[in-house]
Amino acid sequence: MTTAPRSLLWRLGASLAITVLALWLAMIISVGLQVRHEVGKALDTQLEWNAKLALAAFTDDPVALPIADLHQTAFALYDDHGRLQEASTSPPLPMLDRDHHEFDFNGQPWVIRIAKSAHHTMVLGEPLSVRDHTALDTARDMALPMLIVLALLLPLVLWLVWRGLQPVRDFADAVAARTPARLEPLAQALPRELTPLQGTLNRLFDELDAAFSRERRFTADAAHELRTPLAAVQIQLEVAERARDPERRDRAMTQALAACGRASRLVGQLLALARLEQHGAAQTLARERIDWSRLCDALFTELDAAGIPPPTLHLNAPSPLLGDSALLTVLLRNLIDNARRYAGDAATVTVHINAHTLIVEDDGPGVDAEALARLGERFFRPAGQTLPGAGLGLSIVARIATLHRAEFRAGNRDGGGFAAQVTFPMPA
Amino acid sequence: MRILLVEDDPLLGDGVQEGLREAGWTVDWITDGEAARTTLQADASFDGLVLDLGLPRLPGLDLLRWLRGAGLALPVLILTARDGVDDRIAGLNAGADDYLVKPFALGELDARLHALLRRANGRAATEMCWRDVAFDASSLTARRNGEVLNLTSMEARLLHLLLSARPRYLSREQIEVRLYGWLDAGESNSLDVHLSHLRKKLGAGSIENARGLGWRLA
Repeated sequence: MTTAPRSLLWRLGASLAITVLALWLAMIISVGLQVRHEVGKALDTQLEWNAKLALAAFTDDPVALPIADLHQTAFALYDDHGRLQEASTSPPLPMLDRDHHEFDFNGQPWVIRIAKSAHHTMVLGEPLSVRDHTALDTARDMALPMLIVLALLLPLVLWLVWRGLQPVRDFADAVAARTPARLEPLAQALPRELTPLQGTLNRLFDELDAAFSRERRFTADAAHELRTPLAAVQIQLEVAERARDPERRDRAMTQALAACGRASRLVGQLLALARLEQHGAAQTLARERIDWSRLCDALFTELDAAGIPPPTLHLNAPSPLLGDSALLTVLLRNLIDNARRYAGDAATVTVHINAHTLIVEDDGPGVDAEALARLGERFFRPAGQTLPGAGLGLSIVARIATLHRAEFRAGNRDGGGFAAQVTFPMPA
Repeated sequence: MRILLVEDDPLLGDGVQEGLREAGWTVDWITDGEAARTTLQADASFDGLVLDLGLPRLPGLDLLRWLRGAGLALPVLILTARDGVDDRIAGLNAGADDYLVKPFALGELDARLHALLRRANGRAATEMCWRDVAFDASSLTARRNGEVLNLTSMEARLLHLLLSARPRYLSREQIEVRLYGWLDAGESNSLDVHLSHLRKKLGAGSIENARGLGWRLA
C-alpha cells in the first residue's frame, strides 16, 4: 500500500477535530457516570423516605396508599407473620429483611428499600434502569450543544491552520522563483521551524551558484583562449596573402599552420577535460588492473613515433592498482610532455613508478616562484613560452588524479629541476 | 611611425609584427608586461602601443594604469580576446584609446592605428598637406599637384615622419629609431641616401638641415 502525500492542512484539521471529539466524548461519558451516581444517591434517599412514608400512611389509613405518586415504583406490604397484605405488582416484591442495591426481580436489577413498624414490613423498589435513563438523558442534553459548537469550531480551526501555513506557501513561492541563473539567497522572515531549512537551501544555492559560475567561467575562458590562435591564423594568412616575396609567404603559411595546430591542440584538451568532467559526474571510470610496465611500453613507443624522446623509466615494484588505463596514459603523457616542453632539449626526463607513487622529474631549470603558484590554473603558460601549448595539461593531470582518488603535487626539486608526483591511495 | 607591440602569443605576435611592417610601420615586439614597462621607461620614441591584456609578469591593464600614471600620453590600442562590455569599459577606463577584439583583420588594426595617430596629432583629415604635396599615411602615397610621386617605402615613411614632426626638427637618432626600431639600421649612411632621394623628389629646398638639430620640412 502506498500512502499518498497528504495535505498538511487536511492532516492538522483532521487530527484536531478527532482530538476535540474524543475529549468531548470522554467528558460526556464521565459527566453521565457522575450524574448516574448522584441521581442514584438522591433516588435511594427518596426511595427510603417513600418507604417510611408509605408505611406510615398505610398504618394510619390503609386505603390512602399513594400508589399513583410512585412512578415506576413497586411496593409490597407484609404483616409480622410474613403474609402479603397489599402489593402494587403481580407477582409482588418478596418479603425481604434488608435493603438491596441490585436485587434480581423479574430478570431485572432493582433497588429495594425496607421500612418496618411493629406489625408490618413495607418493601419498596424500583428498577435500576430508571437511573440509567436519567443519566443518558442528561448526557444527550449536553452532547447536542457540543456538536453544534464543534460544527462551528471545525471550519474556524481549518481556517486558522490554513493561515498558520501561509509562511510555508510564501517560502515555497520564493524557492520556486529560483533558477540556475538566479540563485540569490532566500531572505524570508520565517517561523523558527523553517529557518534551518532556509539555511540549508541557501548553502545549497551558494554551492550551486559557485559550480555554475565555474562552468560559465571555464566556457568563457575556453572561448577566449581559442580566439588567440584563431587571430594568429587569420593574421598570418593575411600576411601570406600580402607578402610579395615567396620566402616571406612560405614563412607566414608555416606560422599559420602552427597556429592551426595550436587551436586543434587546445580544442582536443578542452574536449578531454569536458570528458573527464563527465566521468566525474557519471562515475563511469573504468576499474581495471593497471600493468604499469605494459602501459609505459605502449606510451613510450607512441612518443618515439611522434619524435618525442621517451624518458628513462624506473619501475620499482608498483602495487596493484585499479584504474582507467586510458586516462592514466593521458596523465603520464601530459606529465612527460610538460617536462620535455619546459625543461629544455638537453634535460633528462625520468619516470619513477614506486609502490603507490608516480613521479615524473627532470633536471632542467625548474619553474620560478610566480609561475609555480599559478601552475594549476587553467590556461596558464609560463612567460617566454614559445612552444605550442594551451596551459591545460596540468589541469587534466589533476583531474585524472582526482578521479583516481590520488593526490597530485608539483614543484621544484631540491637538487634543481622540476618534479610532478601523483600519490595513489593505499588499497583498502 | 614606430609602434611597440606587447603580445605574449608567439604566432600572433609574429604575424602582427610582420603585417604591420609590411604596412609601413616600424614595429618592436615584446612578450611580457614587465619588459614592456622597462622599455617604455627607457625609450620615449614610440608613437603608439598595441597591447595584449593577458600578459605574463605584468597584466596589460596594470601596465596601462602605470603608463597613464607616469604621464605618458602615447596612443594605446588594446588587443584582447575578452569582448564583454565590462571588459571593454575597464580597458578604456584604464586609459586605452581603442579596443580591438581577437580575431581581427590586419587591415582594421592598421586603419585604427592610423586613426589613433591622427587624433593624437590633432588632425582630422586623412591627408597631410605641405606646400603642393598631399600625403596619405594609410596607403603611404604622396601626390604633388595631383600627380603621384614615385616613393619607395622607406622614403614614404621618412616623409610621414617629417610631416608629423613639422615644424620641429628631427635628429638622426630620432629618425633612425623610428625607421628601423631595434632592427639593424644597416649601413651608417643609408639614412643620408634616403634623405637625398626624397629631397630630389620633393624639390630643391624642401628639406632643411640644421647642424646639431637635424632635419625638417622647410
